[in-house]
Amino acid sequence: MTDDSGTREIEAYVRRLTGALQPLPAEERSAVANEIRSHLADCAARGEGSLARAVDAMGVPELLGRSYVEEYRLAGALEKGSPLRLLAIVLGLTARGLAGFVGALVVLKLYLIGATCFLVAGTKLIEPDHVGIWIAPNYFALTINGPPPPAPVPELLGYWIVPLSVMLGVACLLGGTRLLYFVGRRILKRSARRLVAV
Amino acid sequence: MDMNSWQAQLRKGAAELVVLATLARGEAYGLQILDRANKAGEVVSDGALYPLLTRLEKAGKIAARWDTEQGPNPRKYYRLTSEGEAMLGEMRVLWRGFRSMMDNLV
Repeated sequence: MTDDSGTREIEAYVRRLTGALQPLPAEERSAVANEIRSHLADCAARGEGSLARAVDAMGVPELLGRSYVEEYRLAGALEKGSPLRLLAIVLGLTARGLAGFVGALVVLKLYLIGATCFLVAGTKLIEPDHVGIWIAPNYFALTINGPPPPAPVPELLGYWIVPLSVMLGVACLLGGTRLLYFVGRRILKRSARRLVAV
Repeated sequence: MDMNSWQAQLRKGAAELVVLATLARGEAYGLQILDRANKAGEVVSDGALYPLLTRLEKAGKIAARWDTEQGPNPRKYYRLTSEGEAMLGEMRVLWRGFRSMMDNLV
């Protein structure tokens, strides 16, 4: 049986933990809080000093709560298949890991290149004379909606730039998304292992 | 090299296997799992166990139920699912191979 001071200490811990769990859905937050409360009550019932040791072993409630929230967000984004949401979460988490940060930057670059490729394809159809690749001795230009070069420099790809840009854009988006999920799963595994500390 | 840090890394790698193996002996709640897992030495800490249990539950390796009838303190009991049993079997095989390899090396 837990005495009054023990109960107050447990409730204080659970209150702080619950505060850190706010981003979780109410049902999940309640389940985590109830389980931790139950654990601390069981520990307190083991005698003097047991509750203090258990609270010490649980760690700072805000950190414990953060670990639940991070895992929930990451696992949820991986499961629901939302690349943009996953990218936002990965970028938020990568401040703590160089590899993840570099991975997230590469993903962003791939997405930007992909978007640019689609822009090239679309603009070529609207303004064909202003989009293309021009190559000549002592002259090179890759232009999107810029002024055409002085004649008679030939444009390299013509309308082939449209399907090629679309293919490259799709490849960049697919590659970036695959890399993003890979980085997300790595971060999730790493955060799980980080929790297992003695 | 920091021995404590290295030892912590060893324990991190074994925690899932230890938790699944303790549940293979039968349904248990958090403190029971800790008692079983840490019987021969501290492998899993209190703060590490519960997020790990949540993750294993979401992954379908373990299932949980609340028992509100045994006394004033409700407890969440965990048990292995068939997926968890299969995963434990694979982990045991890998662990035995790893242990044998390390015994030969060191």
